[in-house]
Amino acid sequence: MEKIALSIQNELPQMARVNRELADFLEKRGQPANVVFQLELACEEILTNIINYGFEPGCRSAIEIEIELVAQTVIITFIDEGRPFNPLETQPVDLERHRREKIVGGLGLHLVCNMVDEMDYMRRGEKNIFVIRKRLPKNARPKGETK
Amino acid sequence: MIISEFKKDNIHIFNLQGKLDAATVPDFRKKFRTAAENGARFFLIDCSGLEYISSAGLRVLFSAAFKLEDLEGKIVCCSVGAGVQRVFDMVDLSSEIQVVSTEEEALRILRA
Repeated sequence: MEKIALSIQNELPQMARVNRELADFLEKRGQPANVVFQLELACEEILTNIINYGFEPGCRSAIEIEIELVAQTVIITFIDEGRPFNPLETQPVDLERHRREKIVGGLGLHLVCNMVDEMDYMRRGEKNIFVIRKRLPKNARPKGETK
Repeated sequence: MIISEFKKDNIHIFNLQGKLDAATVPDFRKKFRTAAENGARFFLIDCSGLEYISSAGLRVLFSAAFKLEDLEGKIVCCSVGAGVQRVFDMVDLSSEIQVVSTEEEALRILRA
């Protein structure tokens, strides 16, 4: 099966389970450690944002995560019922100009942008749907081996 | 995350093993603050065992560097693995924190 679906509560410690499942999914499909590292980091940054800023304090809610591999592209979809938030509308970090503002915010999404090929946001009903896509390196397997 | 601390002369060394992320940053921040409050100004972060760093980890390193700049201290990272180095490069960490390959080199810079 090339797709898994997970559901977690909006609590930071639950992210560890997502990273475990993600790493397991990718490793079983022969993906190199650097791809696993980059996607774990992208997932963690996105989930941290949703969990920290998406909900009123004390509000418990579920976050759905789908991970699929389609035609050498990993697609990860995050669905939450938090307040409407389009990460793509946030201001990009200007690493040159705002020296000490680096520590304030925006770094997480900056990292995600660097690690994935595409990002999409939709608001559907009461849900935020955020999708990242990362194309896998073509030469991940040794030459001559076709699979 | 395992954080070990050592002192060499006036240099405070943190050896980080595992992941510096949202879950482990509070522990590191607390240890850094305690050391700075006790007068430490020169810090070496040994990243040889650091497997992973997220934006929360980067923020705590940046904020440590800015605080030490105000206190006329310094922070240097050494022995960074390829994955973590790539993340450092994405945010241009080396514009604020010197990153060198060996502990000896880092100690030399901090003693200068």
